[in-house]
Amino acid sequence: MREIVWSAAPQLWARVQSGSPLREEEEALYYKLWSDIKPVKYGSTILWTAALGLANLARYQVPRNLSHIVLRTECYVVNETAGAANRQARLAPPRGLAYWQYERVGGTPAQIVTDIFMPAPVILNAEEFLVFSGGNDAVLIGNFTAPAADTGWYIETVVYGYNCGSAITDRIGSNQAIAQITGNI
Amino acid sequence: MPLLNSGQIIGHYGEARWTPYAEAIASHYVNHVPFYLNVPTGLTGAADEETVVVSRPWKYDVLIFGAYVKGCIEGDDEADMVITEDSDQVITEDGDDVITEAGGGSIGGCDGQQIFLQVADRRSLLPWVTASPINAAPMSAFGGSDGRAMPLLKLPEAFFLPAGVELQHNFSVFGNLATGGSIDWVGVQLINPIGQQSPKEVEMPDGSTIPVGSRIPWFAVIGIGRETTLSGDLRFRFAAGARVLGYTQPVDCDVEIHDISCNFFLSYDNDGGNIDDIQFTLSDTGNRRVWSQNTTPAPALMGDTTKAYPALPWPKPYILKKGDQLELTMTNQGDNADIILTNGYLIIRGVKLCGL
Repeated sequence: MREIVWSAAPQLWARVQSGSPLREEEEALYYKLWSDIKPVKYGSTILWTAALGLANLARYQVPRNLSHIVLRTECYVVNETAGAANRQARLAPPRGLAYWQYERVGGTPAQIVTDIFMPAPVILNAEEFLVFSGGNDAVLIGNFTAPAADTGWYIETVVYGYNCGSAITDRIGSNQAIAQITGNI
Repeated sequence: MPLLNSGQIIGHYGEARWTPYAEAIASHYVNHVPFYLNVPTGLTGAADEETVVVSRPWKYDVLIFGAYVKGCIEGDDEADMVITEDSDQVITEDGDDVITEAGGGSIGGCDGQQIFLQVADRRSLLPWVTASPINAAPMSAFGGSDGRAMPLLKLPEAFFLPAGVELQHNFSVFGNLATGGSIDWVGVQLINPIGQQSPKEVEMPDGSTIPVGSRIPWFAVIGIGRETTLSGDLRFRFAAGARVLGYTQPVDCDVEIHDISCNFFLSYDNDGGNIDDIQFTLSDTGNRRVWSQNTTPAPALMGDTTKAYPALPWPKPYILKKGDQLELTMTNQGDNADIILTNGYLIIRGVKLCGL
């Protein structure tokens, strides 16, 4: 959270780095920016064989009047087959593609936010910096191929983000990450 | 010491007490006469209906203190389960009163909980209710109703309506049908201004001078639960076990918050839910201090039309600074997946400390 505050008000960071104490109005700004951040995490666990083709890996309804900044996604596969040697070991995300999109209430896709042909690891197991507006669902979509084994594999996904008001988002929203596919540059 | 020079004031509920703002304005007039303004909704029972009703202009300045509302919706899928015998004979549980019409239909509620209202005066056009999420608030947040402990509900601050200015009312329903109904504003007519013209500014007890009309009611609405749609209607659903965040719209000037009202105690109870399972925490996004370490059951935090305080006052009015928001963490600690709180709204009421 502190890094977000420094990003939104780099002059505060520069002042602290120089060894000088923050002035009263700078302290007030720091406190206001800090108060404007609310950590949130969400995700899902789904059976891999039930997630072939397009699957919702994580969904969060961004509250109205606020923005949501996605900071990190974690996704791994877990084998729950009884007696398996690697049972409950966490493995890499499934083969396939992944992307973020907006959905309106009721599940209707409204807008794709990242490239739909992005390989899964770039989106699913990565630091991130995406800003979603309030009043819509931010949804992480996976587009996977079938697992090698037929049963017992689960895809577990966790997304970490911050709900932020305009005091933060207006200052740093333009720094959203852009992910580019190798070969499409 | 009262500023009014109106002879003996005998209050039926104790001494008459006006806010300093209202007293300061009224002291500039010689005569004060009670004022009652009935505004019908104009709703005709159509689906997703919206009407705009403008009150006629009044020849005198008026201070509006509160309102009485009447607004019935027809029973829908979420209304009481009613078992009828012999046409109009009804078996109820727990001694509920059920009003039936021919054929055994039940009225969904008459306290204005599911009829929505937006108000603005035609001079400033400043809306009383925040635009998000539905640009309106349940009528039950504006006034008390018949058969309840509090037939009148006071506004957080008296509203000054100048002579010749109309009040515009936007009535609407979502997914329910309503016919008729009305809101009755209650206040005082201010007659014979001293100096032959209405005051432009008034002096407050702390010595400051503020413009007349600079106190506008503020109603911030938060839908309870997850937003969804049904047949094109915006709905809120709060299922057992859910935990959801909600925020008020950022304020464009400082707001003094006084109380919270809601519209779902009766409907949730009728559906078999325990209203104590609906719990909240509150905080200010501009000033994060822990207001409550644990969640607070809804009846301890907000009023409802069924309670003696339809809008439950806070222990102390709170100043929400310009640009800041109230954050509401909602949890449904019920364990029955079949009991879902639907179309519940929470209305945070206060007064904007800026107007014209």
